[in-house]
Amino acid sequence: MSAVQTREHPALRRDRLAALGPLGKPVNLILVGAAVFLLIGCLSSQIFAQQTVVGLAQGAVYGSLALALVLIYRATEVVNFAQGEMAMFTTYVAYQLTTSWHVTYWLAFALTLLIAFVFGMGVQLVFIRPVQHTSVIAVVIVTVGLFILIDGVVGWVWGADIKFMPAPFGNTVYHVGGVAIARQDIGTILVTIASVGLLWLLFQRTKLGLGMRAAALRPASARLVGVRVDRMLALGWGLAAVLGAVAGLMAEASEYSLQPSFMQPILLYAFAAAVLGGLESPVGALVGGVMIGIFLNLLGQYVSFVTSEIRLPFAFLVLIVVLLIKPTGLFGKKKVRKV
Amino acid sequence: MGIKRRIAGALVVLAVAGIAVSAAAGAHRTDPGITANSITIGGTFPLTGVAAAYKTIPLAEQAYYAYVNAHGGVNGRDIDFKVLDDAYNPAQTVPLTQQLVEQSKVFAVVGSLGTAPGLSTWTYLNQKQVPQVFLATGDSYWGACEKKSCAGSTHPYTIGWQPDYPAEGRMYGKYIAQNMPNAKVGIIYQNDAFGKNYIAGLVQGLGAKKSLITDEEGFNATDTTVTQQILALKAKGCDTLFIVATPSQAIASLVTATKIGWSPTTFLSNVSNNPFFVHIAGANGANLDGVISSVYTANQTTQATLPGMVLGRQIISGYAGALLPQWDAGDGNLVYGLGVAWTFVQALQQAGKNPTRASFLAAVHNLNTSKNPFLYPGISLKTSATDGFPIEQLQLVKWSGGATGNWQAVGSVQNVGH
Repeated sequence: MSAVQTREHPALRRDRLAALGPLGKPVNLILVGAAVFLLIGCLSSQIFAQQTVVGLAQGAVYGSLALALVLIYRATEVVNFAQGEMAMFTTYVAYQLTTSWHVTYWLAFALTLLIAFVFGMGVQLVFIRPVQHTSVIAVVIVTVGLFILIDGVVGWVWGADIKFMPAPFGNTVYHVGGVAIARQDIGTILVTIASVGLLWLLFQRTKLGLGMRAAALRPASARLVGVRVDRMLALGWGLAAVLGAVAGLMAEASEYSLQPSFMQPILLYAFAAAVLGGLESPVGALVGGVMIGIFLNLLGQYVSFVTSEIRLPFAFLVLIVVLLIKPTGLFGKKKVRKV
Repeated sequence: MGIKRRIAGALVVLAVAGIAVSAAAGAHRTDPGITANSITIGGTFPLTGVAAAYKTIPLAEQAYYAYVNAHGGVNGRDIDFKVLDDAYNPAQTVPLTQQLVEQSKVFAVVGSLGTAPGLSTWTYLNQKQVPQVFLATGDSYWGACEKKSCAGSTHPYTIGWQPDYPAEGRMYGKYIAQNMPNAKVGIIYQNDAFGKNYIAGLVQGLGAKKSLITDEEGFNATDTTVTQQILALKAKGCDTLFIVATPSQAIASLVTATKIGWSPTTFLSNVSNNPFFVHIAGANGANLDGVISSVYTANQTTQATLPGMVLGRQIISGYAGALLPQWDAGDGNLVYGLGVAWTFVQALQQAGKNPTRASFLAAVHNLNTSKNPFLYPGISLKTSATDGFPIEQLQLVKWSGGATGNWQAVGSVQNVGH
């Protein structure tokens, strides 16, 4: 976030700096504390390190999807309940490409991201734009409807039985000091970093990204200076769908099987991650995802009553606590209404 | 008061008389769903939804009935088997079962799949006195009439088919107690009745050795990630892994154990031991050799020359040709479906030339045959007025041949009855 754009609108810059202001400090303390805790834990216990590595890969998936939620929240001011199902749909597209049409995995991966982008924009154009200016609740209900629609369509096209795809990273496992690290997990983390990095470059270093940020933050002002706000919002949905597609493909690869319901628990963890990070903050979504991934695994390992029954509720406990204590999340900023 | 009481008394007398008359009439009436040349039966199955992997079961059953019909039916009656899709959702099973009973007028509900769907309809079917037979689930509810007489149980019209989950768990428990007295057993289980039934059986089978169970880690049916639990089991020092899971989590458990460099002696619940799924785990890198499980149906791959498997392939290719690749890929659900359909036909033949629901139920509770060609050789169907579990034998099997291997028998067929 250090690079400052010369063309950046003063309002944007003020917002961004405010996010790094006094509120930034306790966040940094928490993050440094968490990092130190994880480092000491990993060095002192093999199983701690093992659960952390696995949690990191799972967290990367939660983080990607949480980031997709945040992109849409910033653009449309609603939480897209269909985000997980959109990701599930694009994963089925990849399944179709690889398994039925025998496209190689990484070509299929690229094609799927492209299709996801078009799909995301299409969803915004067809379903969201008509209701966007009516009320927030209308948009929310449309996304819930989309959830059900996509679920049904996928079941109808591909059937709901369990499906299998080729493994993108092979079955190699590395052993580092007694800790098994699957190439699959490393691949998941790297792909997530790459996709988020590219997105960051797009937003921070291109005029298009500037326009998108402006359209999301100050639509009226943006429109006045010639930004085509509607087009920017559609682009935002497209990019969110791409991130979701990455999350879906990585989740499929680490679960070895594909079923229409497979993104539903992941969406719930992503909600918790996005709220933990602050619904407005892309960095927060990623950090939140990784934290949820790692800490749920560690809790399952070390706290005997955190069994699988309580895993998902625990993620929501995090969500509720955050909303009660610091509704803006770790990285979010207080909304100040200027008179 | 006096008059009122007298009227009430008269009404009671009338009501009793009415019941007696209708009961007498009922004795001579033919039951619904059966005519001189047809018998209509039905069942609910997950053709879509989370459990749709089992949809080949009813398709195989339909193929078997088509084969029987093409060979003259049962005592001249064609079997009309109505398959409805409840998507494994009990809320759908109820109206669909009512549809079968009240619109399609089925003679019996045969082979419906799933524990929760079964439980959601058994009170209704028993009230309506419709036989609910050969349910495709391994819970122990369906045969619970055993202790009393089945006819006197709360659900006399209901019976299952396959060995129940506790029985399978008991067999593994006994095996561990006898052959691995120093094992440290870790269990990964679906945290619902399905998983807990297996654990209860395992504990029984271990008997005095139940302290061998070192750790139990559960997972939610909807959660397909089991890595954290597998890591925890390894960290607790377990050297034996018991996987109680449906296919997707079973595959993930097998693959994850290998990937974290753990090679426990693994027991796999037989709901997920379809070679079709085990091969997927192998393709994703799981070490499979030595994994232990159990079977009660024959295996069309390793036992392809058994008369039942030859016949099975003929039936599938002749009456459900689209499923032939699935058969050749080793889908055990097809054999299961054929086995259930064979059992129904057997019971129907035993029920006499003009079966009634009562004579059919009596036949269901009087099975004693080892001729079902789709069961594992040596396993028989056996029920009685006090025994509501048709199959109570299992064959222990061990995987060999790696990623493209299959199950091989260990020892001989064992009785796992109650």
